[in-house]
Amino acid sequence: MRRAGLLADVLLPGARAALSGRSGGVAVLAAWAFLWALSALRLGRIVATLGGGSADQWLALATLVACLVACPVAALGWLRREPRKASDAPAGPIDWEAFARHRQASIGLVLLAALILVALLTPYLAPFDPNAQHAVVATRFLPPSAAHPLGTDRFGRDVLSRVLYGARISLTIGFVAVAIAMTVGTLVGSGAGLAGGAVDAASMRGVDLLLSFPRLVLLITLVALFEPHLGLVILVLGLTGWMGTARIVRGQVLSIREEDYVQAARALGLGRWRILVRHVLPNALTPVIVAATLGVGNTILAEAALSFLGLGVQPPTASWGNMVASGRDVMLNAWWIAAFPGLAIVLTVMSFNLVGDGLRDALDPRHARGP
Amino acid sequence: MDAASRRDMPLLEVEELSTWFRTRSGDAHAVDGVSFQLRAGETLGLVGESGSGKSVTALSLLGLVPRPAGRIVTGSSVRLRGEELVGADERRLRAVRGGEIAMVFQEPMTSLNPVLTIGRQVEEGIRIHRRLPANEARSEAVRMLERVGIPEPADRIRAYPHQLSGGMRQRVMIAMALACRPSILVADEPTTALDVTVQAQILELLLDLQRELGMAILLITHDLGVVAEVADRVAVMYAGRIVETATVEDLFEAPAHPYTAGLMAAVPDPDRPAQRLTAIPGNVPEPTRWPDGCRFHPRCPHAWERCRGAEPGLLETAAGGRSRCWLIEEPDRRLPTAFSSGTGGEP
Repeated sequence: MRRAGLLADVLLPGARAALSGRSGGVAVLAAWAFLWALSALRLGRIVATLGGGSADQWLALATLVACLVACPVAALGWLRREPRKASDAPAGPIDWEAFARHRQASIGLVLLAALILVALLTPYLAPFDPNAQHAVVATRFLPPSAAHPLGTDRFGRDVLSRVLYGARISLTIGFVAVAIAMTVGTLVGSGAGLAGGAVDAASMRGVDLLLSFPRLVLLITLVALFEPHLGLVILVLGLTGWMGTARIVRGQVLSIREEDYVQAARALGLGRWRILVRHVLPNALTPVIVAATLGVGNTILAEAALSFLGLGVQPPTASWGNMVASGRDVMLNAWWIAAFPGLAIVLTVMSFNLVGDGLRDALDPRHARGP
Repeated sequence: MDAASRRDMPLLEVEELSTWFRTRSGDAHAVDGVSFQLRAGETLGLVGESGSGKSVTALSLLGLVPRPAGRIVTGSSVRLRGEELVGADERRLRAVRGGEIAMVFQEPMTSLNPVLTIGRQVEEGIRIHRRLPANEARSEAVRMLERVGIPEPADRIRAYPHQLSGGMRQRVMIAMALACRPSILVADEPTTALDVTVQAQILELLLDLQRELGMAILLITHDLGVVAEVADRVAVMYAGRIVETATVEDLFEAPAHPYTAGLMAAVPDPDRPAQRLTAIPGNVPEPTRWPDGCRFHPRCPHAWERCRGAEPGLLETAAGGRSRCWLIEEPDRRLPTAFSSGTGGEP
């Protein structure tokens, strides 16, 4: 009986959990089926990768193998554990069970995971090269069909392939720019909060000054000064997005450094640096994580706006923003060119916001946590 | 130095310690010329109302006065085994904190970092002061947690503070403080936030550990019951100054200072439950404007002109303690009825 169960978990991971009504099981089973279907349909490309592929393709292959291993591991480990009762204390500072009980947040997380998976697997998933112009006249402005599920654009390029490749650009921009913003914001904020006095006042007035510019105007000015390319767009988005984080971190540091446990750490003879890194920052991070999650969605929107205005990612590289821009003047005749990248933006930003909301609840000690 | 005189030499000598805070209404003299000594292995109770300067005294010993508002005034002296700590460099002070003078705080609920496991928090001090490698620090932490009475310490080191009760957390705090074998433990209201039954257990634990490790304890409390249970000697603080020092027996037998008598009268007497609770009239004055003369005279039932004009020194009492009160020189002025409803009171 036990061995049969083990076998079932390895061959059809998630199936038993799904049968007993756990949504996690359904997700694992769906991922498993999707991955095998992909491997079967794109066997040619996988073999080609093994014979010598680009970095993109190797990354996709690594992702595929890792996920194929992860599914049975998830079925054997995580799905076998009984869900913790609501009354028990959570095992760590992040209350994952509270997060899981938050339905919209779970949906957002699943969407987000799927999105990241899709972005990594794009070289295998996309039916065509995103920049391949097929017979330009014959295949341009084709409506969605079996050959081109989301249609083709004015150059006869496959919209589905471009949306998939656009996911990589948008997610990369979102994550890297937010990482830059969070790093700068945390450094400025903790510096201001710890130093206090004149340094604090000066840097916060500087932040106020920067915040008083509309972000888009700032972005347009900065991008217009230089030749727009991907690295610059990321840098500029990162360097215009850190002020909110700096404020949050500064406020947190100001209140946390008065906490009893910081006083206790001082009384134990810990140095300033150690107290900051081990005791103050980890406790200040909660709202930063939430702000970062919400920030990724905002950054993707900002990039789309920049690209829409022609100042972001430059054609022919596909980004959701410049796809929407290129479809706007044929909207009435070929709605699919702008609609699908637009939908992708909406779904992505929405899932980041849902996850952000869920994290805020899961990280808030006043939520769903016994005394 | 022979063994006998080393034993007699005080471990900690505090002389004329003054800690002032800058405020909008002038300098607040929170601690104002406090002197006391602590000998190895003894327990000194530091007693007083809120705002009398007890906690600031404790923080001053470790050089932890909040800056820039607070400062230890020049002329203050805190000597640990003869070594001056006031004005010592930060490196030396960090080695003293936790290593030689450790501290336990009042609030076990907030004195532990909520995002680190208790194991990591106990290990931290061990690794800094005793420079042990990670695995030895871990087993030392387990041993220490076991010693303070945490059940299943090898599992509990992975617990987060919110998973423990208040009493358990205070035990963890004690384990953290004692892990580096300090010679002095400063306990700032260690049991105030706990249930009465847990209070007794924690005090018992502290006394056990004191016997085992031979450390001196400076016990800061407003609770005379706690002092009576655990302290050898008592120093009573009022308005930034020590107003009376005595052995525990003498103090409870015959409090020499009217303030001490007032504190004792304010303890409810279970034998006379129908009685109204006695309170000392008035409040502790503002630390920016201590009264002239004896600082207690506006609230003192015995006060006369001399108290308003000049502040007494710490005068020696008949029992051998010291009291900052003119009544020691003019005992006839003591009114027989003041604070008569409580325990102790008049000889």
